[in-house]
Amino acid sequence: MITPRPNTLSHASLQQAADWYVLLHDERPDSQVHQQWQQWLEQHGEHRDAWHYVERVSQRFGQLQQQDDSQVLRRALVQPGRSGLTRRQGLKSLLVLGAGSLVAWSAWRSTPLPRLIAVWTADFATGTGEVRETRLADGTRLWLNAGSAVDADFDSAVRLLHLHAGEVLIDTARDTRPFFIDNRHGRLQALGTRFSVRQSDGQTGLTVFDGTVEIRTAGSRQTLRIPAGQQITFNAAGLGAVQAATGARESWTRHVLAAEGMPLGQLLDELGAFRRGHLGCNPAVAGLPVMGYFPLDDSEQSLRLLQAALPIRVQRLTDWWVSVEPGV
Amino acid sequence: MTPSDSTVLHQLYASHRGWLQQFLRRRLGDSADAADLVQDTFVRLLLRPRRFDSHSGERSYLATIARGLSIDHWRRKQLEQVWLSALTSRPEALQPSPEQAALIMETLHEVDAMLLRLPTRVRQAFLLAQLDGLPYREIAAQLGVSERMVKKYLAQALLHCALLEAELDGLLVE
Repeated sequence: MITPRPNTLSHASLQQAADWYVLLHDERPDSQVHQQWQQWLEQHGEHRDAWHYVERVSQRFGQLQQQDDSQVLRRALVQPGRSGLTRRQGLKSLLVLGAGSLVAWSAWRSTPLPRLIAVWTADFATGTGEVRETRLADGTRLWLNAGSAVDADFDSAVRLLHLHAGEVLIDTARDTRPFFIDNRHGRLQALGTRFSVRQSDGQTGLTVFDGTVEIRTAGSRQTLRIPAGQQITFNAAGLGAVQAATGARESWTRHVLAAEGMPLGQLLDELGAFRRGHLGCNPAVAGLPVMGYFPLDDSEQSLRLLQAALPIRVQRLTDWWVSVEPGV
Repeated sequence: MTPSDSTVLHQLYASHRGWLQQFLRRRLGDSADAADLVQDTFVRLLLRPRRFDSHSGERSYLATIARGLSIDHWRRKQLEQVWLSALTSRPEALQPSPEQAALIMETLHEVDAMLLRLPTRVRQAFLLAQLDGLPYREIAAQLGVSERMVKKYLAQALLHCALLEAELDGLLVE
């Protein structure tokens, strides 16, 4: 007879089933135990379900027990478990199989699903290590940094871009229609101009090289105009402080990262979008300021340059698991 | 992917994210890793959309994917090597058939994945009982703890594994 399986099981029943199992398998069981267990089992359908799962665990081991290598198996199983590292290595290889040429691992790794779908189907997208230049229907020039995704939504009234992930540099063409960029942190309106927009998890960075860009934050609805030569970070809740524009936010279009006192952690983060695998940074050195020009297409060379200039050591566990640690 | 696929996926995500996250946290012992794998589980589904006829069917399917993802590739290799090297030292007559070998390997992975997040002592006690069939008193002597402690360890391990087994069937354990 097939009975429909319940959809829930209480934790308490499973706990009781586990306790019974242990009592029953004692080599000197109490004479009452078997009978009491029977009573418990008959008390409730849920008890029988719980017992079923405890039994199933035991059966799994039973299959292994028939092997006369239980010693060897046990030794293998007792060995310390995976570290987060090896698990991520496994995931990494999985992802290479599963997601192929999609946006950079780091960029979409932490992305909520709705946004992930948006990135998947975006009009323009770049993968790891890829910088792409394109021209939009109105003649606007658009550069996509590695691991970026943008949708273009132009009609007779507005020119609208949706930035889903990563960074773009935009050189807008003259047109009577207003030019907007939307992302989850707010809306930017370009007022005749060249500027970059970089989206990370918690915030968006805007750097204006020419003309003016107006920000309107998504949640707090604050507005601010940023003139050429300035940059700012903002998110849905508010605006950060206005600072002098840094060349790095434009230099990537030439495949170079121009660091002018950029914290090492951020630099490695940006470099990471140009290589496969993990590039980590020990927090102890993440704040070190870095000056110089670093080739994005040759991240190995960039790492060598960094190692020569800073008190750091590049540690390689595998080719695609590299971390930067304090030097000795 | 059609728009309706994407709607279905959104719905699946909304109704299953919560327990799946818990399921994975129990397996991995880490919330951030669990969140990552929840994501990967849905990505799998995104790459190969399919329809379900029941809520627990959905849960069971997602749990199976998530379990597969949480089994570590490298750990898998390591286990296989240990086992295969043990096999080579056996006389030929005792070698398992390829089917048997595959079955044992699968079980080994499953068991390994279930036990990984348990404390070392609990794991040791459990394996000594389940694989070697040692009585509680001998396990207690080997681990240098009381028999009462051994029983506690065993119940803890069993509960943990049974929970995972139940969740694999799409059951919600509350």
